[in-house]
Amino acid sequence: MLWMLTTLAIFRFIAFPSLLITSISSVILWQSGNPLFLIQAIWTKLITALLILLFIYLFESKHFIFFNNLGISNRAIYLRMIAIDFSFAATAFTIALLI
Amino acid sequence: MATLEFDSLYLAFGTHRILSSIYVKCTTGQVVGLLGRNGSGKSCLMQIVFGNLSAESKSVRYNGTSLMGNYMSKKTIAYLPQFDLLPSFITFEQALKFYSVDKNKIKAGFPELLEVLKRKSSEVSGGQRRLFEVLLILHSQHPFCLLDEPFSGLMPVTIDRLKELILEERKNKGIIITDHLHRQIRTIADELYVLTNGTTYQIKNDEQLIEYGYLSEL
Repeated sequence: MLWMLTTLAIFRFIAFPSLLITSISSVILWQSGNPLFLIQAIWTKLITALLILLFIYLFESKHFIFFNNLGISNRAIYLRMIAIDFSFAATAFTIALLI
Repeated sequence: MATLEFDSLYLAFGTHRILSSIYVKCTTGQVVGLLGRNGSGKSCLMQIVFGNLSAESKSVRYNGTSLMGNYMSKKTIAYLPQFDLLPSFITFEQALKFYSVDKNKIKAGFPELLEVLKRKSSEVSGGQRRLFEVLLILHSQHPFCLLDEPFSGLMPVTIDRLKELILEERKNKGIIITDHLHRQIRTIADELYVLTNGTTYQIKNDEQLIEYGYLSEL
């Protein structure tokens, strides 16, 4: 339970921009109704995720110490952020294609 | 009794040598003070020992065993940086939960903080935030704490109470502390080191602080 709460807290570093991009990509995917747009949506997610992580690395990574004290390395922090981000994106894209 | 010691540290930025001849030892039940001028490398030293700044070489030992790789996961050392510890989106209450710190410990020493527990760190004053961060690290389960400028932004009466708490917590853990309020550090430290020209010198008497160029007068 604490592991999940910690992971969600870590995701909050990137929550706003990444959820916004996921939402916009999902809406475009849903409105187009064309599964071929999925490839563009995935590329959009990949490129923007890299840019967001670069921003975090440059300007926010000093706050990682709060989580480092909990035994979570910087690498694990980035991995958890990416894992949650892409889980949300995969779910949103699937829903957009199904409805 | 547990021991944390570090030496063989070498850190340079380009051709500028920061740390080269370091030896510090701290045991549980001890407060070790680390003094040094601005830019002497105190914060870098703490970050290297904590494990989030890489050095060209280092040896950090816990009970005589070298800590290698990602030793943060062992939760041996808690680190309070000189800048904000808490991310702006975390409330004080959430921070306590993450660090498994009992709210009553905060209530016992600093009841005035109770009313801000539900607030995010970005919604309280700098002094309240700093005080809470120091308490969080001191009450954490880690056997050793590195405190980088814990007194910055705190009013004198709070510093006095915090010093009492540090001496109380010393019973359970080892604390390495650095701050420019050297008088405060000297009153609580069991061992004192000065960091100058990349080297640590153990201080046996106050006159040595002048000798090593840290103070101009006592």
